[in-house]
Amino acid sequence: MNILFELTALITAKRQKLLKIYTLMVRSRMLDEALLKSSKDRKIQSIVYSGIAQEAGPATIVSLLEEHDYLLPHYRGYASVLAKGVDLRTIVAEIYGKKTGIAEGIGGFTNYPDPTLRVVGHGSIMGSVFPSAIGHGLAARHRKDGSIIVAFFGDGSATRGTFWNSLALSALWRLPILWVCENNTFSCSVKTEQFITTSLVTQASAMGVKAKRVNGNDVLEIFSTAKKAIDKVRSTSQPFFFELTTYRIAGHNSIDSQWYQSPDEIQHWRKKDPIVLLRDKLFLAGYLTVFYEREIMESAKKEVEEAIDSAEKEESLTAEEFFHKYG
Amino acid sequence: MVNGNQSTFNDAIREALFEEMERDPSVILIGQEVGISGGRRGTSKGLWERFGPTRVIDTPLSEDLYAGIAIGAAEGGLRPVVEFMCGNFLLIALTDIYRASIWRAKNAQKISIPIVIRAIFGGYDGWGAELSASFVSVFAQIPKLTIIAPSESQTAKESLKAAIRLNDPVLFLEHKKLYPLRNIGSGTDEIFELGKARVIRQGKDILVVTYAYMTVLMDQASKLLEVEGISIEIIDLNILQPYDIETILLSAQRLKRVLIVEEDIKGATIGAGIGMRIHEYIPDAKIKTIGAKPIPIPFGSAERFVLPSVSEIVEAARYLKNKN
Repeated sequence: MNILFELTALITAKRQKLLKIYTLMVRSRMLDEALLKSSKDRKIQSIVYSGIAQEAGPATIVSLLEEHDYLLPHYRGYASVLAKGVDLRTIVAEIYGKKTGIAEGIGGFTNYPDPTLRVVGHGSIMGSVFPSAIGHGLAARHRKDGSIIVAFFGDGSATRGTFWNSLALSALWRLPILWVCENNTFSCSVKTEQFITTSLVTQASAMGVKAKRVNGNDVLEIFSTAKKAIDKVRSTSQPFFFELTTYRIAGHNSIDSQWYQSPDEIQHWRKKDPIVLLRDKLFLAGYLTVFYEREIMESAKKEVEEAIDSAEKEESLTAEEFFHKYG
Repeated sequence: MVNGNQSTFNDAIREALFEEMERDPSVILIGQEVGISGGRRGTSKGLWERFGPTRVIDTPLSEDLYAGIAIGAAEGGLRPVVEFMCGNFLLIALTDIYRASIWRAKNAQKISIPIVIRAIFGGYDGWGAELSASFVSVFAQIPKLTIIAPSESQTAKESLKAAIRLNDPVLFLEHKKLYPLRNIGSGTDEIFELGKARVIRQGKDILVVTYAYMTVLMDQASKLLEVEGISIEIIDLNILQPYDIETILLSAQRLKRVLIVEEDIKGATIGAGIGMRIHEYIPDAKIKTIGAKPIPIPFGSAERFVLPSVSEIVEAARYLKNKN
């Protein structure tokens, strides 16, 4: 009887977690598509870096974190920061350049810093996350509060020399860092495979970090492996490396025409949409109903539309406000 | 530990590190050979034994990571002091030194970055272009970076302590030739203030504005000039960014003849910027600058062809004194 009770509790907890992840992915997707449109319609000054179809990894992994863990997000997509609790409206306002934005509208591309949620700001130079993560690892080790550091980046950034150096240091100094590479195949307009001699997991292992390659579009696969990895990083204070294999459906950014991407290839990967994959499994397991699904979709749509409406009406920093604070 | 007045510059740095690390457990030291070896010049001797390997951290040769590591550590609540064995190696880390300085603004001031980047810099030791060049003015193009270059041990100690306590990034430049020297400053009883320049010599004829090792050359030059009846006032900047324009203008207004002496290549320097400010405020001031020649510094004693010399300074002072 006791075992049944525990099992039910486990399934319930997992069910709740999976529904939470599903909702996050839907919200991220809605936001992503809406901002792509805003960019193409020239409603915003900023260009955006779409993470469409790459939501599974960030949504799942960050959902498995604890509040005191630090997130160093990827510049691509919104799932990780939304999963950490960042207010969607402040992301939109930031991209619209308004002072209600999470960095008052002047923080730069894909930069959503929130120290209260332990979401770290993003540097414009790709790969700046590598040494920052090491520094955070040192701070976590010093705090001794069981917190871990999760750093997301792409396969392109992982061709920087500082990547290997940082992996090695994380192993040598025994830092509680979870390195997550979203391998979406592309370094802008070029396929990353042209630049690497061995696979990412081999590279990580060679640097002394335990590594695993996972299907980046399969929430359930990510869920079970990430849960184990996070617990291990936390308990042993040793780093771990995830390669999430996925594909970049959208362009590198919103002004990229994607001339170099084969339409057949894109179509092939559209069929592996992580939201659809998860949704089908949730229906099968009885965790999701048509009604509930529609509720999630409409709620997300409303949230995004309202955020954009608000952002359009809000003000940007005046010269006075700017100099007063930043001068 | 020895009282600051008896300490060499090297001792002074070590004392400052020791005292601050003792006072504040979040202060850590990162760099090559800083730990078990106690530093190439013994600057961190004893620190590893006292504070352990989690606070005194030896690194491999990865200057390209150092400043980025400092940023992450500071965000996570530490106060990292990062040591660069040679000023030239700062250029390897330049990207993240820049990022560290703009990071607070980019985070809409929600965080602070309390890091100190220390570098042992400068020439007059015969090590050639890649290990001796001064480069200080390059860092003046980085907004919100505090730049300090002390000229003697007591000021160095107080400056480093203050730098570690600041909540924003500091570039702390320690000239290698100053390391073995004991307090050669004016021995003034003035209370130390990080933002202030130091008037280390009073004079009647010419104001010299200088910093770091050039104060040692100025010490020699001013004695020679005194014999000729030319009286030199010397301001040691100590803090190069933001520099203390008030103290400079006070003396410049009085003396009207200004010689700016730097080790950086003459031309696009912090000193040239100061000269321009003086000119804007005091249009009738006569201003001259001294710096290295724009030639790669040759290895060995041939460096004297390129780096500023005492005789060059003396000649410039004579010229200024006699200029109508």
